[in-house]
Formats: sequence, C-alpha cells, structure tokens
Amino acid sequence: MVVYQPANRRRTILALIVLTAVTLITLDVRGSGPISALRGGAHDVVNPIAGAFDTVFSPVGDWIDGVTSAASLKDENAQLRRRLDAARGQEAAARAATQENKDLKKLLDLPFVENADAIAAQVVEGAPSNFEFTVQIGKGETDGVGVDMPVVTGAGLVGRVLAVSRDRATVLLVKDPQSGVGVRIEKSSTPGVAKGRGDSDTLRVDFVDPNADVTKGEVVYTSGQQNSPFPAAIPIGTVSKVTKAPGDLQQDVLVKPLVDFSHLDYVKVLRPPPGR
Amino acid sequence: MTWLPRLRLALLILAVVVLQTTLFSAGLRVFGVMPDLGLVLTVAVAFYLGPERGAAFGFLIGLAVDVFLSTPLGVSALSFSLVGYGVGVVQGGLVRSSRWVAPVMGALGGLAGGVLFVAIAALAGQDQLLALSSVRVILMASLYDALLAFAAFPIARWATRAPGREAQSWSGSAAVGR
Repeated sequence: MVVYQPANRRRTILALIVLTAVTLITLDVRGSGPISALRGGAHDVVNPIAGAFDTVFSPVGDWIDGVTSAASLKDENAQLRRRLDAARGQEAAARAATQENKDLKKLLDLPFVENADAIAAQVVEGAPSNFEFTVQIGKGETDGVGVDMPVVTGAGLVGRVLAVSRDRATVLLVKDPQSGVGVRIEKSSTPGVAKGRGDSDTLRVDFVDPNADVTKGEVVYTSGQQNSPFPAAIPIGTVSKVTKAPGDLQQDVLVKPLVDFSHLDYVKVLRPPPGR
Repeated sequence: MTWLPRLRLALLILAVVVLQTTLFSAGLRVFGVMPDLGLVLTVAVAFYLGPERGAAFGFLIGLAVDVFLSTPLGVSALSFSLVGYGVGVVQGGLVRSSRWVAPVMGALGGLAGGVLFVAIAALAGQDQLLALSSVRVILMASLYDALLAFAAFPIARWATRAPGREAQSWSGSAAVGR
C-alpha cells in the first residue's frame, strides 16, 4: 500500500524545486559564468562515454533512419541524378565564374573570406531535443574554436558556434528559429535578415524593401555588416518564394538553404583573422 | 530509500543523457521527432515513488538534460518536476491499474511535459517556440513517449525497488512499493 507524506510537506518540496529551477533559469538568462562553466564541464565528462556509445550503436540508428525515410530517399535519389546531369553541363561555366569571383573579391577587398583560417570538424551528434536545431562538432576550445565563429560547408553557411567545451562545440544551425543572419539578395543587393523556421525547409528573410525587385532563384549571401559574426559573401540559399502585397511594409521572401542539414558530416569553422 | 535504488536511479540519469545525446538525437527519430527519455522515466519513477520523489527525480534528470540544450538551464528541470509531481498525485488517486497505465501515463506525461517546456521556455525569452510546428512535435513526441513507456515502467520498477521488497506493479498485480 502506498503511504504519502502530509500534503503540506509535498507542497514545500515542490515549492523548493520550483524556486531552485526559476533561480537557475534567471541566472542562465542573465548570462552567469558558473552556469556556462558547468555546461562545458558536463560536456567534457559525458562526451567520452557518449563517443564510445555512439561508435558502437550509430549503425543501429542509421539503419532505423534509413527505414523511416526510405520513400523520401528514393525521391531524393532521382532528384540528385537529375541535378548531377545539370551540374556536369554547368561545370565548365563554373570554372570561368570561379576565376571571375576571385578577381572580384580582390577588387572588393574582402580579405576575411579570402584568408579565413578554417578548422575542419566532423559532426558528431544532433540536437538532444525536438525544440532546437543544433549539431555538435568534434572540435572545441583546444582546437581554437570560439563562440560566434561562422560554420560553413562547401555549399554555404551552416550556422554559428553557440557554445564551446574543451573538445566539442555546439553549432546553432541557420534553420533554428533563434538564428538571425544579416543577408543581401544577389541582383538588387537588397538587405534583409534571414530567420530560421525550425522544421520548415525554408528560411524567412525579414525587412526586405517592398519596392526591391526580388525574383525566384536569386542567391542570398551573408551581408557581413559591422558587428555580425558572419563575413560577407557566404552563400546561404536561393529565393524560393516571393510574396508582395500592396501596402505591406516588407516583402515576404522565403529562401531554400543550399546546405542539406539532414546530411551534415563535415563542416568548417571560420576563424576570424587576428584583430577582427 | 536505501543507497541501492539511489545508485540505480543515478545510473539511469547518466544512461538517459548518453542515449538522448547520441542514439536518439541522431538516428532514432521518427518523422524528425525524438522521444523525451528523461520525461518518460520521470513519469515512470513518479508512478512508483509518489509526488515528492517523482518531482525530485524529474528535477535532477531535467537538469542533466538541460546542460546539453541551448534553452536556459532549468527549463526541462522545472517542466519534468511538475510532471513528476502531477503523475505522483494522479497515481495516488487511481482506483485500479491496468496494462494500459504505462502508455497512457507516458502519452499524457509527454503531452504535459512538452506543453510545460514550451510555455516555460517562452516565458524565459524563447518565444520562437510558440509556433504551430511545436504542436506537431509535442503530439508526435507524446506518442513516441507512450511507446517507450512500455520499457520505462519495468526499468523504473526495477530501479526503485528496495532490496528484498517487491515494487508495485503497473499492470495490476500490485505488491508493496517504496
């Protein structure tokens, strides 16, 4: 038979727990140093165990992932084949464009992108929650990774470093609703702020001038404005939808990211040059 | 409670953190949604140990999970402890148990925990969570939690059992708990 303590003792315990939790939340929201240190320390303790466990059991997870997404993989495969054919044709043009791009960068004096010191890192874990879009990378403080450093792949911008422990770092993906990136839209150079939309496969660009000429397919780049952690000219995605209603103060622009967040294996962390 | 159940519960917290940050975060997502292992285990432990210990266990396991999230530290701890308390109170009022207690408690606990997490996180400034997609995630995760409850309840029963005593059974054949 289950015997309970008096109700007032129960309430006291619950009140103490609530008070402690609210205190912790308040301290963390205000940016308490000891809490950041606690997070880093806990990562350092659990990471070796998690790493060993992941090595053993990741094939199980991969298999289940493959089974649950078999239909979408088939479609994706066909789509990729079509893209490959198109890419072959574009390859020659791309070579010429690359040379032109290099010349233009020199002309525009964007030394950060040219000379960025990049740290290659493997993506080791996804987010341990349904409500955030982050990944863990296998490089940390000891490798020179720091908070707010931009993270990219060959395709474009992945996100920025949110937190760092000794051997690992948490990267906030641009698709996370907490993420906001200053951008510029290719042809018109219209500025805006790309915000993540979580589960959705597109980003929303806010504050786009209603009179700007934005068309579907245009590439969206980081604007690299002052105080932004992102250097200029990192591609983010292509405009997938533009909605303009008369009288609106901004256009509704959706962008499809160039990076495939569901298959992130290796990324590069861009370290800013000294003095920046 | 003697040292042995405490040790088992501490090991369970470590196991949940490792599983949640590895296996479930990477591959064991169904339609992009993962279960909340810590929450399911809180529901199961609260079912066997009552509201106070359920709330305390929820707080500890929530705090352990919080360390690995980007939401403010304490959001999961608070939501899990409230769910643990609630399940303990509800369990005390149950007239009889059946084999459906575990999945029903798992689903309702998952639902309540998800709603509380979003609400508390939004109050702490994470208002981007107040979105329609959160509703879909909470509903799907609670179904996943219900399935996992079939495993979590026997594990919690084993972990909370004092040496030489039988814990209360969730499927009806009741014995002595705590």
